Amino acid sequence: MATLESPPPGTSSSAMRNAFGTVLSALILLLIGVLAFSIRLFSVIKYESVIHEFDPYFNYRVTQFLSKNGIYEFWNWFDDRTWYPLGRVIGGTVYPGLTLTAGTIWWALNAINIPLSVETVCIHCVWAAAEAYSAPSIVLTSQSRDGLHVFDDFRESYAWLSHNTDVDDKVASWWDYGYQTTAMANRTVIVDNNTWNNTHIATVGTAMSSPEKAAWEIFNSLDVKYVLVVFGGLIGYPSDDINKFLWMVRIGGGVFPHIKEADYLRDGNYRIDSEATPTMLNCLMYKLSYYRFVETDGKGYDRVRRTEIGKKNFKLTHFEEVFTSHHWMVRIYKLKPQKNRIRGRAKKLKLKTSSGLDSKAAKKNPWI
Amino acid sequence: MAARNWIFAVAVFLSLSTFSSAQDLQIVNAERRIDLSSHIVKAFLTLKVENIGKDPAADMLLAFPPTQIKNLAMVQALAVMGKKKKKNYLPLDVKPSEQPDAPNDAGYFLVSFATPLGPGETVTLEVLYILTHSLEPFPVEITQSESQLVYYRDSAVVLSPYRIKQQTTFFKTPSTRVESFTSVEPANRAGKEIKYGAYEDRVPYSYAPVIVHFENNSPFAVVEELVREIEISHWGSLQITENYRLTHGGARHKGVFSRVEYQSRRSISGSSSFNALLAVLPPRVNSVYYRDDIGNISTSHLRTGFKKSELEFEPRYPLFGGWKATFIIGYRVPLEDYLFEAPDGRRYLNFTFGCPLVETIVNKLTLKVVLPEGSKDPSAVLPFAVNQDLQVKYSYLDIVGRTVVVLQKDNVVPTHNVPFQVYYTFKPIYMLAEPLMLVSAFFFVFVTSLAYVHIDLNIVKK
Repeated sequence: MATLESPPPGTSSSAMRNAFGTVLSALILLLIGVLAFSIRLFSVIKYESVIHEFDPYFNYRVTQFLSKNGIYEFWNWFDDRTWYPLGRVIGGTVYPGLTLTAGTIWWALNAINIPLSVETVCIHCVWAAAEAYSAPSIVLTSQSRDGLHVFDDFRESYAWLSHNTDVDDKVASWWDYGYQTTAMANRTVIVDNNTWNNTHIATVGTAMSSPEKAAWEIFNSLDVKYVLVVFGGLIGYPSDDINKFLWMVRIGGGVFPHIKEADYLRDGNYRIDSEATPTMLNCLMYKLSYYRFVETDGKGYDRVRRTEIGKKNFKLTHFEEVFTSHHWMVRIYKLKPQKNRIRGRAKKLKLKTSSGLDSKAAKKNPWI
Repeated sequence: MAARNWIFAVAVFLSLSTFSSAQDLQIVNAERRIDLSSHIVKAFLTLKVENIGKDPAADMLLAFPPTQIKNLAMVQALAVMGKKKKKNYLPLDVKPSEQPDAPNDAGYFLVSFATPLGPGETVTLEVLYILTHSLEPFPVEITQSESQLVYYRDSAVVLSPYRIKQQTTFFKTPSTRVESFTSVEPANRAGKEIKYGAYEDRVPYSYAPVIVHFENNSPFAVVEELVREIEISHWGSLQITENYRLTHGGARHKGVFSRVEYQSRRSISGSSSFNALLAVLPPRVNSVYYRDDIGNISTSHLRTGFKKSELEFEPRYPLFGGWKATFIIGYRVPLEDYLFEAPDGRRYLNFTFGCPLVETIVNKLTLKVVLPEGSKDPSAVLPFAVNQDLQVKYSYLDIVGRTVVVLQKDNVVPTHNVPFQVYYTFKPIYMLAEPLMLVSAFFFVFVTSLAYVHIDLNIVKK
């Protein structure tokens, strides 16, 4: 019968060292993880746990849909709230990794009765996607004598849209704000950050670069009810639509040849002051950004372009202002409904002549 | 003219009435003051009641026209004891009452006297009743630069099942701008007060409809739905979460909203709009947050105090007629202020009912009291009628779920902010359930790792 031999001397102490080493390395790895996590959590603690940037809003909205409707609905989802009237096949065109991870974490936590909202889970997963802060961010802050001043105009406008417009109203804006509008305002948009259809973006760009009447016609054909523009001239926010306007002209001009970039340039520069071209001063983007802006300070001084605007007093004929946010950063306009009767000059023409050809020409213009 | 026809019509009904108490009491003097300064209409009625019958009267009826009955949020009555400097007020029991043969669907409330009123005796009562949604905006839609005008419909004489020997009614308007008021002689207006009276010797069920059309720019803050959740945690705190759906209940906004006009000419632009609200929170409140679906709202200011805390907050945008906003306010209070032990061993929560916002009407209020896991026999005690229900909620580390006492009431006004109690039994041993769960989870993990390290899973011995 074999006797139990005592273990050879030295092995017990090496076993202890091994065990100690394993525990120590595990602990060090854990601490590294905690530290890395805490560093990224710093801004959440300092400001607010909110999703910044544009693209993460798409991931958030898709994860919301996944958690509410389940995986089968998600794979087969055709989203009609964006790229109106084309829509987008989300099930087939999304990279599902981030969304499925967030959805799985949320489902697992909810299964063991830990009630975390989808938004909270997304902020921890989206951290991988949104690395650093860069303008544009959704909440802007500035230091002043009385402390921290918060510019929450984007969320103010999205909240207004979501509560004070009808669910089926379409909102047209430049594509940058598409994801945020569908996620926060819950309204159908024409173009969004996915930018998969250049012609559709060019249509919106052409509308923004055209005079009021032509813009109205384009938006009306897309069933648009509200137009949203971002304007930084009052507070000096540089990433606004006037600074992005050159892209609207170039993309629009690339598809619709009647938009020529040269019409908007003075000596090779885009100007909005008294030296601006007439085409620029008459285009929809100029009018919607600077409507009644002169009444704020009497001179219409644009803090971003650092100059007084060219056309100061003008009326809008085809749009009406329905909302401007607190610091004028977001301005929302509604398309005026078409008039029913033919009036004025066209009517006189009709009375004067009795030939069918003339009356046909008179009928074509419902706005006079 | 129409008033006289009305009086005649009800006199006919009177002959068919079968009230026994209606003939035994009469109102010697009635003075009614109706405050129309805010969208919550408060009416103060002083009645001097005399028993002209042979039997003692234990109670009396208050009558209201059918249009007012559905908007009545609260009726309270006090008996005035003593005279002049030594007056004190005794609260009386008031209950809604159904009476057969009510003329034209009038509604009733039964006021029970403290002691039965003997024959020939008189008693003075102070009645307060509150009406909501009784100011009808006219014009229905206004632009940003217009002022808000409303109709208030009532009667120049008090509707009562008893004869009233003398009465006067006063209407108090918030400003001197009164477009028109129906004239029922003698009626006149001085500044912000319209006086109807004195009217002598009116028969029971007299009614003289009047309409007052006046300017009222007070904030018509209506909370369409409020869900308030009070979660009791025996670890030392009460967590309260309130979900609001707020709307502006006045004349609808039409046309343009011009920010430049709103900011530069604030006194005339958007005079009926409001953008600031005040919530009165308990003292010693901490961890207050104010947010909505899309994130935190930074426009708020909290002042804590010893008797109460005040949270001044602004929605993301000013509210014009018909505009809506939703938001969530949450806060935490220490448990020892609100949870007590009853003499019979049960625990009870003593908290304030209603909505913390000042001068707001809540159309539908749902109050949920979430009791800790393991609580049994919940019951709620309130001074007025509410709908009660029970639900189950699953939260952190729950197995069987937490019992939720759901109290639901419609048409809530700030006068409903009175204390209420929720009783339940709880065995202290259940407190150990959560720590034991966590301890056993960690224990399991450690034991598993220990076992894994020490068990030899090799097929072939090395």
